[in-house]
Amino acid sequence: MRHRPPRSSIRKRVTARPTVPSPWQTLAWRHYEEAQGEALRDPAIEAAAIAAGPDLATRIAARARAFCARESLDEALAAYARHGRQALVIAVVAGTAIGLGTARLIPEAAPARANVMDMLAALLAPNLLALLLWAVLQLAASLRGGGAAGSLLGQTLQQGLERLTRGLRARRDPRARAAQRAWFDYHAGTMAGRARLALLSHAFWLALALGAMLGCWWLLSLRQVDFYWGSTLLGPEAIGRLIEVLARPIAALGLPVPSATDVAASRLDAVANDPALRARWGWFLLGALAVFGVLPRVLALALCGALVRLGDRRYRPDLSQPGFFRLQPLLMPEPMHTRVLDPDEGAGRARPSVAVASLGQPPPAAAWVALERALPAPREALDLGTIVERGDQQRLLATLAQRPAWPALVIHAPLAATPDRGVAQFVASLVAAARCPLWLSIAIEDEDALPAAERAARIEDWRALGEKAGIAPARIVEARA
Amino acid sequence: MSTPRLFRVAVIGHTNAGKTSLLRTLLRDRAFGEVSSRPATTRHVEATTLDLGDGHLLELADTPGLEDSMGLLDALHAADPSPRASGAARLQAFLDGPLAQSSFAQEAKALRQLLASDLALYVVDAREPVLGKYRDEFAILASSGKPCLVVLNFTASPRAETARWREALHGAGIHNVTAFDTVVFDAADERRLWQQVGLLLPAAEATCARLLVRREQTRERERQQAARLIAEALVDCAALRVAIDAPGADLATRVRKREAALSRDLLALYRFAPQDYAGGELPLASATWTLDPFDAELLKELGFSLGTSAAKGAAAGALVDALTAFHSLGAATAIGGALGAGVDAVSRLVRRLREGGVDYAQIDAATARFIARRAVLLVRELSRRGHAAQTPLAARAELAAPLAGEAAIAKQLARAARHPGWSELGEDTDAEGDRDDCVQTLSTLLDAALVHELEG
Repeated sequence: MRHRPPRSSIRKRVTARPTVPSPWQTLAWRHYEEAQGEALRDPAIEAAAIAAGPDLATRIAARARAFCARESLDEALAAYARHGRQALVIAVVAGTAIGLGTARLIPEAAPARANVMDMLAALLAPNLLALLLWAVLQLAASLRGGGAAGSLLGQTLQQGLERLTRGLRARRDPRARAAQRAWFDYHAGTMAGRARLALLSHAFWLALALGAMLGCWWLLSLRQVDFYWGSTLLGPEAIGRLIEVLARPIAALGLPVPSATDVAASRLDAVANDPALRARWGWFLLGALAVFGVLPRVLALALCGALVRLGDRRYRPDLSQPGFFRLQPLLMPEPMHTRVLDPDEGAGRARPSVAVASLGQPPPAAAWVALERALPAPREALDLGTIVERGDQQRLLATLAQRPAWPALVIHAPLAATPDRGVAQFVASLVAAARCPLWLSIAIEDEDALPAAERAARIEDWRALGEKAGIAPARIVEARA
Repeated sequence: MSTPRLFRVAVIGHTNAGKTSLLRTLLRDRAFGEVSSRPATTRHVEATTLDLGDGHLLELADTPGLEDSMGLLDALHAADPSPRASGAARLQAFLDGPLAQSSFAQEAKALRQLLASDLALYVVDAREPVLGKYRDEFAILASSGKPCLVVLNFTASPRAETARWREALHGAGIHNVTAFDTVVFDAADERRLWQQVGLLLPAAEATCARLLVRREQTRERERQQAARLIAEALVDCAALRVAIDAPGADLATRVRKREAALSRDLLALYRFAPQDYAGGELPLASATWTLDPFDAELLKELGFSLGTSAAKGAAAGALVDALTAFHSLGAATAIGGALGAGVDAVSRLVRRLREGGVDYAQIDAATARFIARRAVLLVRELSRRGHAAQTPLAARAELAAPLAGEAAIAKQLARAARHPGWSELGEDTDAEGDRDDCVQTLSTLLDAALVHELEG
């Protein structure tokens, strides 16, 4: 038997700060339970979850947190979270290395000359194109209601991990399996998950831009490079305007930038051996990397960080999924609105016990009277008809008052009729008025009209009625059609 | 908006007529009160409150049954023999007298509640013959001065004498009569009942109409949720693939367990308990899983997967091209595309080789369709079951009639069968493909089938 932890420890588990994002934990526990086929019950956890908040989503999350801790699912989730952190480190290291490698575009040979427009395109275009692609994918995902994995890198990572973890460990261990399924659900199906994957991608590109900037700064510090530009179609005015636009935010950072004269002096065919001009072009290049490479990624990282926090906080599970649907009655019990307005003072009174069935039979020439429903009397008997109305009752009582010479009076009671107090009252008045033996014959017309248990209870009630009215138990019989 | 107020409704009737049953079914609460075929089961006045919206509340009070109505009518006349006394004054005089505390204590509770209410719902067991004791009850109710709606219960029973009851009630001057079987639920009857309550309580007419709209919306929501639950279970069962030789891997047990869980979910959705359904064992046939390499749908999915992988590879290559300031002339894009498709194809091949020699069991298409049919029929029966019903529903062991749109449902089930990773029950964790899309499509198809079943 599983050791049950004390209540305080359950409360701690419910309110503890989750080691992995709460929605991921919630999804993992759902998958684990769905594989089990039913919601696991623990009254202490349920009570603590109900106390965690007024809404179902909060309660589901609190319950999942407590169960994940109790059933060691947190360990499987932590392993995935560790893989995520490792992937982040790899992305940063790879980004930095590629960035540093990109800086080797700075020429080495002396006299070194570099086309400034080529350099800008090579260092910034992939980064900006990828950012644009990410933004378009995000827009498309939000327009179609989610589902896209945030970025190409994210999507590729997701599928790569899926293939890698399709191994035996997940197959054998239901916890690992649930954690893995939840990983996919969280990262592909929630805003926070998609933003988390995008964080990975932005970290990679940020590292790449920083690596490129660092490498360029290092190489430009050690090498003397003459920057030039050349164009067949564009004149110096157009290039000058472009450089001016690009340089404006760089100048705002306080970095020296080339002027229109500098642009004119740096044309492919111009000869300008000016160290200050070289430095201005060098700072322009580094500034462009900072403003158009690093800054957008820092902003994107901040945006995704905020989306992760917001998404995790605002996550609402799909309550129509079976795993969550089953939790509604457990975590949102409907308060009982019923109240007793007029109590029964005789509450708890037991129904009287009755004697067992009699095997005797009333005399053949007895008088028979049916209650409420027309029932056939035996052929030799005197059929007094059916008591339906108040008048029928009064007529029979008047007849009895005249002391008819009947060998017996048989009250024929249909099983389908309810032996209520009104009937009991009438039977009691018959017992009082009759001067001949009274029998009660319980007519069981249709065996299947009532379920067996109800049939037995009804017979018992008729017997009790007869005995209470004063009919001897031996004269209460059952008659089957 | 009208001033919020509380409307009091007393549910009155002869003992065992189904007063508590009426409340159970109207409230969708099988736990309300106590229901049995024995007399005097309810011995106290128990009330519950329905929120009609806009602050309007409807209090429904269940009362002990009237048992000795002939004696009661006599006692009422004895309490105030004046021929000019009004019915309400006579009732009050009776309630203030000693008999209301002794012989007729049970009836007194019901009458006290009747006088405190705005409306009485008088419940009649329509299987009963129209007896004198009931005529006396009509007379007592009519004399109370309270508006009264007669609810004919158990009208779906072949023994019901609905026409005779209507005739007797009209003869007694009672024309507000409606049929509502508390065991065999009929939404149209419920609509008529609330409409009549609205007519008898003009101040509550608009709110009763809103309640009806809400009930209709709830029914629709329940039907859609039922379709979703069935779709999820079907995908779980159809996609489940179990290696035949794997230890502890029993296909039949897992599928039966999942079907039982589905039944429990559907019962809970319609506010019934597990004991309301005697779920028989699922007749199961399993088939050895074989992959038809020329299956059109499979080839389509394969082509889509390879195309997507190639596109991703090409996109990654394009970035490399950009890194070289496009001096590579698009070579990286071409190589990336080829690599993407190649990696996809090789990983599929490696997977097949790794699994080589292992036979898998999977339920066959007929079994999957059977589960769908049985679940849809269960929903149909639950939506027509009153919450007062005592006899459990029996599971169907044979189902011949196909569902509406079953061909399309079968197509989605075949789609699920190609993706073992979609089953929550199996060991596969392959999330490839779009399970949600399959569940969504199945839900829509099953919802249409449910609409057909419920309206048919």
